[in-house]
Amino acid sequence: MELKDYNACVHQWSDALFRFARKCTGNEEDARDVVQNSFEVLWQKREEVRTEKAKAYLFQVGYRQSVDIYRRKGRIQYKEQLEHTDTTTHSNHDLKKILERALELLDEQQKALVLLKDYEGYSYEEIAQITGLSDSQVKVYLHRARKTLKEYLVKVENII
Amino acid sequence: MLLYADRELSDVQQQQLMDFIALHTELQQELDMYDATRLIPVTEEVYTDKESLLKSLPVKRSISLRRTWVYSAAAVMLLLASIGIFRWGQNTGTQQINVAQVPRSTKPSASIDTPQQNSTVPIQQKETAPIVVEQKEKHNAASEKQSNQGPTTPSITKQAIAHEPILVKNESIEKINIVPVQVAKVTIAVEHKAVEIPVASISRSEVKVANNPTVNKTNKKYNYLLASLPFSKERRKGLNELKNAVANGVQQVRTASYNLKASDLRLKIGNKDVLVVKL
Repeated sequence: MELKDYNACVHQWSDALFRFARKCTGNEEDARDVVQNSFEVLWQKREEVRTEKAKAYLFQVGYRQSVDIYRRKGRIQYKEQLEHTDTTTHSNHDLKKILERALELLDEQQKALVLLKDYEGYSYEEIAQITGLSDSQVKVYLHRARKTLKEYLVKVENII
Repeated sequence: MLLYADRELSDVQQQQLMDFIALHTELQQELDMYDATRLIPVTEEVYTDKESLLKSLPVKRSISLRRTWVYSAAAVMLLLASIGIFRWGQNTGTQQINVAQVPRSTKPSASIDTPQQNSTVPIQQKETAPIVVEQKEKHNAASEKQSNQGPTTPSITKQAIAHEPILVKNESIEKINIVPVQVAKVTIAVEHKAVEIPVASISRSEVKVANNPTVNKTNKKYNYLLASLPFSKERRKGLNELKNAVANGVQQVRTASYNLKASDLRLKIGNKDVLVVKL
């Protein structure tokens, strides 16, 4: 990868990676760190990474760092608090916001899979390459995530 | 339904699913719920600090060679100067050594040594010396020519020769420049023919030198110049001695060349002359 290819990747994928990291970590500062670290790793490995594989490599590095940050900060407690607040105080009919809240209910892996699938449009194979899982595992985890989100939506619908 | 939510169904499969749902309307709501779980990307959210991520190649510095040339030229000049100073110091040291090696002799007589003797140059000043010229009785055409070239001095006397020293007598010489002759040692018999000795020419030149006022003036000038130089007395004496030694050496060479020209070279085996080389 040449210098100009690297700079093109910055302009092309930095926003998407930031959004992905933002959803995974739930924090804007953490997301910035993830983006900077991911591009720094890509720059260091630029001679080994081809230009057409740069996006997948970026998301792969970003995914691992996001999962690490997520696990380090302990989202389980946050998830319980969210459940509690959602059942008692929620009155907003905006589906988008509901989904974002529902996304927080998922673990880091399922959330990443849903984001990669819905935000970036990766296939099962590409997601498997990024996350290091097998194709069948990606399908199963995604289906579980969708089921959780659907149940949350039904619950909210019922509450509303 | 999950594959439909993940958009993993082909067009044909999707059509089949729709046909199935049309037949089972109770599943329509569930399908809609799964479809609602798809997240919608928020494109308004962007990474604002892209410039910090961009990389650039390091700026190539062009090194100007001007200063390098100046420094290298200065270094070369310094080196040459140091070499010159070193050599000058060496030369002054050798001059002193050469002067010290020349012995002085107070003997009035001057002699030109034979080939067997390696002469040290005895230097005398302001003394007259009897100088005797030796001549052989035999003459040849070459020597006659040489003798005819110039007059002989009245003080020249004839004596036997061969390996005896040749002396030039001249009473009018104030300064005696002794001319020892260094001739290469000859391993085969060398017979000096009876020739008009070119020493006559030497003597003539000596006389000329002695009586020539220009030469005296030159010597005086030389001495005056030497005295005006910022050298010490000892160094002046050394320089003078050096000068005399050089002059003596030059004269030695001249004499030797004359003698060699006046000689014949003979190769004898027993009593027979095998080879005769006329020089």
